[in-house]
Amino acid sequence: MLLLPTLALVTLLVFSIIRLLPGDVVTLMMSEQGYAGDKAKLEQMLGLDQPFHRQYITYIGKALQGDLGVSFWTREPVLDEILRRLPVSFELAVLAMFFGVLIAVPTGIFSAVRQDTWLDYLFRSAAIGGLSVPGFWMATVVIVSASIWWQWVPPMRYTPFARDPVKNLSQLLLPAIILGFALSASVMRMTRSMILEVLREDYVRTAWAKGLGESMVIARHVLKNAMIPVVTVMGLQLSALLGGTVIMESIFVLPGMGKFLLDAITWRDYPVIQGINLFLATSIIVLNLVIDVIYGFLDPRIRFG
Amino acid sequence: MKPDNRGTNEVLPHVSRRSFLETGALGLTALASIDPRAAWAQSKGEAKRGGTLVVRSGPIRGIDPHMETWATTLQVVHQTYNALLKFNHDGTKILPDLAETWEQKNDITYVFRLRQGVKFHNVPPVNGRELTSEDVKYSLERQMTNQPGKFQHAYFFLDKLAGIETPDKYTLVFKTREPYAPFLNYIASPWTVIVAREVVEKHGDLQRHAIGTGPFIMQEYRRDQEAVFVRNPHYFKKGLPYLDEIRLQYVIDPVAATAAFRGQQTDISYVEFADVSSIKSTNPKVHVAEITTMFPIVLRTRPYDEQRPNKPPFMEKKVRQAIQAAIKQEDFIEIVRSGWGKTMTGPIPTYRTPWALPASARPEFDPKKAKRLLTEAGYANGFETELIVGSPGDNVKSAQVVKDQLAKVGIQVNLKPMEMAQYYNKSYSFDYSMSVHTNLTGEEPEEAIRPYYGSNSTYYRWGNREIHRLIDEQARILDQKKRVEMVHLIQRMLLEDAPNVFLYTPVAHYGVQPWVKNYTVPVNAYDQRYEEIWLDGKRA
Repeated sequence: MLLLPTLALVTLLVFSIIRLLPGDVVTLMMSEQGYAGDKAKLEQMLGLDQPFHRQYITYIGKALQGDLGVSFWTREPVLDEILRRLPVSFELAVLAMFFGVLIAVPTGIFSAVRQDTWLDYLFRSAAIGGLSVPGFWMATVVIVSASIWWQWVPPMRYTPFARDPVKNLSQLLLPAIILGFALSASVMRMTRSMILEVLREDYVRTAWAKGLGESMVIARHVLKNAMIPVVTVMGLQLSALLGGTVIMESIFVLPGMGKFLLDAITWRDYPVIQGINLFLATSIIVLNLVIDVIYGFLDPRIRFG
Repeated sequence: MKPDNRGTNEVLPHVSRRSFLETGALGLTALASIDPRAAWAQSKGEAKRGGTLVVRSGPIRGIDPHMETWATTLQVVHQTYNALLKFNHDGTKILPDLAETWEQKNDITYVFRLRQGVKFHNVPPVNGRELTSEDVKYSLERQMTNQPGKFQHAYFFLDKLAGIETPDKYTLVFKTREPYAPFLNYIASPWTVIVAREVVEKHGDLQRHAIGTGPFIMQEYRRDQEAVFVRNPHYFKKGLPYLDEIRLQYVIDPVAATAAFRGQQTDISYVEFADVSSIKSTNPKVHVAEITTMFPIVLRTRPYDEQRPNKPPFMEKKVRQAIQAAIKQEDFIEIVRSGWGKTMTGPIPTYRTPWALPASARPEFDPKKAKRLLTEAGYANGFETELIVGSPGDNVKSAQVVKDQLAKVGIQVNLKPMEMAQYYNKSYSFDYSMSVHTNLTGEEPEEAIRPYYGSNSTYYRWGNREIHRLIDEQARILDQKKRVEMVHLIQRMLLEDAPNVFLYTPVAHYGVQPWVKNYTVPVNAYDQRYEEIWLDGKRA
């Protein structure tokens, strides 16, 4: 179980790196807002007067009890703030992944099966496009063009899914499709090359020789065996998506975690940065675990224990 | 020197430059003030009731009017609270608000009579009770609480007031310690709003609750999403407000904000200058107001005070004057703002008459004079220096123009753009050679001078004691004409001493949808009152 050492290492790294960044929170608060007249008093208030190791131990001790501290600037509990934003980021990531897979897997399969046809070239070019065009650029172009041509923009007011699924989706679909398109590129390329590889395997030749139809060969023998690396790529993408949607969140006015993290870094809000990173690290570890479990389903030869 | 709280508070201006710089152009949205000539009101036809007004908002950190400094906070404060007095739309006149009448009895005594029957919002814990003079006293005393770092507007009255008396429910008598010229301006400041003791006692502070006497009652507040207000049916101004609901929608990305406005999702919004003409072509009925902001961009030379003496070459006045002579303001306006900017004559923006210096006072652009001054100062071959600037934002572009212009007189400037947090640290440790910075000004003229060049200044340090003395002196002059003369004299001395070069004042744009009626785009940076707005057509 590498879970605990990994988390310990991540928290320690984040904890030290943010304190090493030039520009510390105490000077910021004092100079900008005059938050406290006395620097020592302010440090004490924020708990920054303690030696580094003690700060870290206190933090970990509290984190283990579910207390991630309060934001330096807003004094709101970090855990509450994260939990409020997590559903937004999570939903966006899952939707983006859904669209990504929806685009990537069929095109990947098709490109591989119809290798070197004009459609293969088209899909591959589109994939290269998806890799090279940054998501924020595409989002900007989409939102600006739609607003200029049709005076239309997706709703800017966030509605939770549980309250009104239609409104919620009408706001999230566009960013999800754009994000999905960007991430579909790498998944599509991985799907294509894995399928090409598997197509040359002996057992596939055997399947053809048995006289199985194309769809049967692809679905039963090729796809399942080609999916392991594809699932790995998807897992990596999903974890990147959880924290990496800052620009989409800004453009589409989504109150998610990415923007929250960026603001926290800008204003050196240590508890918030630590909290989000702890959360992200945990999610990535859990995701990896889930992916490992999925391997077992895809390939029964993989055994755990 | 550790800035003690009194000193810090005494000179803190209304709005943190954080809010402005953080969001770059976005800051202009909520913080802009406008040129009186650009003021725009539309009130044809009879006012209609109802409807929801959606206003694009920038980041709001907290909403306690006595603690916060971000102007976006005022978008909440204006809807929910009232002050004793307020400024008119062009910031030139003081009008009654909660006070019906006021009178200055002598140099140090002011008497206010409150309106009768003004009620707080009908929500717990005040439940619609009547406002009295005790509430005003409580609010003023709360605002000037000398508590480390919390009450950002304490400097308005802290150590300036000798006492606040409440002879009856509707009368207040203020006594200042000595003649205090900014008194009424600070009383009319939107930060000096009247709050209820019960609310503070119930919630600890007012950072998440806004319960006052204002035209709207805050129904929902999610800090980085939106604030929703509904009509206060018991507002003391009969018939107002017209709107049923206001939504402040937080949109951080300027491109998204423009798109949202174009897509008619917001009714009032900041518009990027690059988008103005395209908005006018796609939405021809939209009104786009030009607004001269209250945030002048300045080029600073090394700050100094008793603890940190100035260093060569900036300790030489002639070097500073040479830098001033080498700077051509028009280039900044053209290159950085595509023409959307105003030249400056001194620290107070030119539209703030009569306080700003006349055009004739503006330092001349004269590279030859700059070279001569450098030679006289012993820098015939120029020198090399470093300029820090916070990135991203327009100031980085301005810094590049500075580099280019100073290179022409032999000063080699090495640019050091830095991330904001790092820039603030550097800037407020007062240890740098040069920087490009966004200053703040306000209705009260001293706000453009005192926080930068006064004794105990917060944001910049300039150790010229004569200037310190005059800045203190002007606050004691009650005769406006004489005070204007003194403020002019201070500005002329600053131009002569040249600690800073005033580069330009940005002009920003406000988009207003055609169905928004009776809205005067605020001249006062802070005046975001929506009580008289009504909607006609689409959204109503």
